[in-house]
Amino acid sequence: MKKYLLSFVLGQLFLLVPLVQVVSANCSFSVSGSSSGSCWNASASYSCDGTNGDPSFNCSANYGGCDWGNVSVFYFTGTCV
Amino acid sequence: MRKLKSNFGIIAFVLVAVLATSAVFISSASSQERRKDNDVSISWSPKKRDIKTADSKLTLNLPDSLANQDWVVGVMPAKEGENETLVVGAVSWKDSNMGAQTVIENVTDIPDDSMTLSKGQANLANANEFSSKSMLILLTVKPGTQISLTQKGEQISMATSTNEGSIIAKETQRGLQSIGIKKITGVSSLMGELQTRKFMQRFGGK
Repeated sequence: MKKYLLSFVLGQLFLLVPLVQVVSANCSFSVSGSSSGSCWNASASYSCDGTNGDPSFNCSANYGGCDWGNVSVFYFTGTCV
Repeated sequence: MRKLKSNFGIIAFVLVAVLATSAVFISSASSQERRKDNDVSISWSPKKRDIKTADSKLTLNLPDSLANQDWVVGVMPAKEGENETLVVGAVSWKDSNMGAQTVIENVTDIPDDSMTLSKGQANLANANEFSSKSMLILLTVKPGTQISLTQKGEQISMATSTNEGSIIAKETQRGLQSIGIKKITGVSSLMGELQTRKFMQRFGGK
């Protein structure tokens, strides 16, 4: 009977470890940018110490745009690390 | 029978351990998915409508249906001999795989019949786009032009254009903000302003 109980407890521990990571919350966010001529660039970074259901949340986004004559282009590259 | 019970305990442990390991792998695979890069490039040829100021004054009337959406109004200086114009873009959004972020999906012109232009006046009428999408508005006028923003018949913001492009007002979940110093290079800067607000809203930032 003790073996069943031990198996159950150990099993639950294995199951719960990945779930426990998903709970807490503390985020930070920053953005900076520059412009030159018809174009501009911005960089946004944000990280969380295990927030919003996402334990590995540490991302950056680089985005910007240019206005050339009658065409405006907006570009965006995001990376999760 | 006793031996069977003992083996059953071991089998139960192995089964639970296998399940737990699977959960870890699923979690890890989910993280790998998030690590994918997300690239978006949007090209738009904004339709420029000619406008006419009256004694260097222009009133831009915003539609009521814009009340629940993010919007931003920018002003660029008209060069010598350049027409004074108005650009209105409807911005749609999509979910990205980058940390559950929302990014700009597309920008389109609004229909011609949703705006009325007259001397000293630019009126944006209620349109479907205004109730479901973010909105960017760019005025290109001569420096020194007084611009009055009105909504529901009341003036909500006022600014005077300068020799540099700037955001003169925007509304986000924070509410209306009048800004006269943030520099812009044109339409794409206004897209960037809306995108930045979206990022920050994701984190409850300001």
